[in-house]
Amino acid sequence: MRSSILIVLMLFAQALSAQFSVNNGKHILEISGTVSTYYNYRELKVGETEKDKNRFNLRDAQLMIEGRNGNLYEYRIQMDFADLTQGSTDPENPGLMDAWFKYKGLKWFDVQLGYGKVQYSRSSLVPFSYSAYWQRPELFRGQYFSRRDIGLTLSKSFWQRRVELIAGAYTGLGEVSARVGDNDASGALEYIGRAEFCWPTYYRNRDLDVLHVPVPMIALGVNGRYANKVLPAGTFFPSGATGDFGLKVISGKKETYGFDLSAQWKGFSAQFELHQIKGTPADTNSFLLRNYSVAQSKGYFLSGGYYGQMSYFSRKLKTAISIRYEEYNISDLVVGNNQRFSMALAYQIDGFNSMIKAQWTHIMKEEILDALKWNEQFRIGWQVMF
Amino acid sequence: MKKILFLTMVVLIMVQCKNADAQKLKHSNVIHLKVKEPSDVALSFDKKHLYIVSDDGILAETDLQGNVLRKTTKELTDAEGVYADETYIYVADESPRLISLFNVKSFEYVKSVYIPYGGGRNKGFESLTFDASKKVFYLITEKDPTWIIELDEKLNVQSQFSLQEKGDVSAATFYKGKLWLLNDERREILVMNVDNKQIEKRYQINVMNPEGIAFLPDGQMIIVSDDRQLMYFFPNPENLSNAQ
Repeated sequence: MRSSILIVLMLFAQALSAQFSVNNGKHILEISGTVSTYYNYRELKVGETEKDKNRFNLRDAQLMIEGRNGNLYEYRIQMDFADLTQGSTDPENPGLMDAWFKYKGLKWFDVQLGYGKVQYSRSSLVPFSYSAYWQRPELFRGQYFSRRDIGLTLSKSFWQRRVELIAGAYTGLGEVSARVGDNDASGALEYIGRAEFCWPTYYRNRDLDVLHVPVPMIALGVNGRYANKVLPAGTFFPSGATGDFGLKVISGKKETYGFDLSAQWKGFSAQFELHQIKGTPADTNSFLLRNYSVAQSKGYFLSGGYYGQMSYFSRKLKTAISIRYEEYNISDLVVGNNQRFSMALAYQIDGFNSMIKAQWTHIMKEEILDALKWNEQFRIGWQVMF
Repeated sequence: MKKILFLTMVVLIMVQCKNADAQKLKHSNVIHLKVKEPSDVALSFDKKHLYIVSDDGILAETDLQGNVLRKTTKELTDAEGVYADETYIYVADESPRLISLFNVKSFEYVKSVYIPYGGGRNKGFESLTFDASKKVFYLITEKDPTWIIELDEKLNVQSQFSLQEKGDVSAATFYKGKLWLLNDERREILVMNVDNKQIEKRYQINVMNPEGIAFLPDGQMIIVSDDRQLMYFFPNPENLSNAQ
């Protein structure tokens, strides 16, 4: 019975034809989506007994509508019903994923307005469905800096898209901005800038070299973001805005810098990314300064880290294998840091449209601020894009 | 775990190295094009010029060395396929599902014909060519799925069939009675017998993002690389096959 179901599912997957569109000769509207489910198993630490995370999880139930009206307007609305149903604002995988339009009628730059991914961190910008993994590196899961926000983005590419410059201003509350509507009581915005250089040609936001490019390609990005939100006394950020560690949005000055490097050639690909956050709380008694005096902490804390990833895609076997190492520190004012090693295997039944993915994660080291109940996690599941 | 990882990697690479069923072609020359993001190329009816279209909606006429002679003023949206006869230049515009006609002499826009297609926005019409002996246009979608749509001389859809090949089709040209298809993702050229729909030959080219294919009067094959804005010249593959 099980094998019969599997065969039927395989035949269905083989017949997938991603994306549908309607068109009037000028305006084209496209409908597409992703459904994915995985099984999650955790190896708990000695003494831990709660196994509630050993379960199937509906990760994606996404529907995307995007369109283009002539050469001037583009737009996209994308929802994830899995997260809407759960009522969560998981920053890695929120219910509302995109709601923006882009105007391309100006000579010097394109203008994008609305809610969507902010142009910071290449790893965050890679669409999840094009990764061999079931989970992004911890730094890019939206607890250290936001991945999406409402705002204005200006972009301009040069030299056959080998160079791209992007700048934007956003409400600064990240994924929560769409839910709350208002800004926090400071009324201050967050500003983000990114520059990317690719060689020898334009480099798409992809982790795997499924095309086996015949010449080595690299993409180098540098980016920064700045917010100075000082809350008036007695006011607070909306729930969920500050993230699990209270540093995603802070009352005070937050400066974040990072660079990323991606390369691919003949099926091999590699990514490296480094980020540093400097937070200067307006209140010198803030918990973020961990009870250190201003003289000791100099009034700020540092956070951030790096990750490296290497992959190989075999066209013959339609399979990708990938390894990842990540090291990050929630706060330099607390002793210790976090180290993780992950490995992924992805088998493409029909390209990315139908892919079975497996990921194993091992926690090598963790700091007290993020002590978890488990030290090994295994996920296996199937994603289908239509 | 490390051993499993290492062994898996070795197996993947070994299997990969065994893939060699297409004949490899080497280019003899390459030039830089002045047309940005070139997405297809076609030889003019008088065989003295080339027509090159681009992703940003430009149709350009060039000499046989790719030097731009003139460009159209009408903005297309996402021009991906081009073919020319003695009267018109036909341009396949991928996103709006149009075939736009330009006068060969004046280079003026004449009209557009809408061909409905419900596939992905960027998986629409990538290629357009013409079989003069059968008086049939071939309009080809890129992938998911790849449809080869047959049109009559007035651009009315007559029939269609799907291509069961891995990858995509980024360009096509009709040459010596065969339909030559360019597969961007696999960097392959497929030679199809349109009577029995069989792929008779396949060639491998080492060109990044190949999006245009045509044959020059002297038999050289030209391939246009979109991302690299380059035009590659290859010795005629048929001669190569015959010699072997």
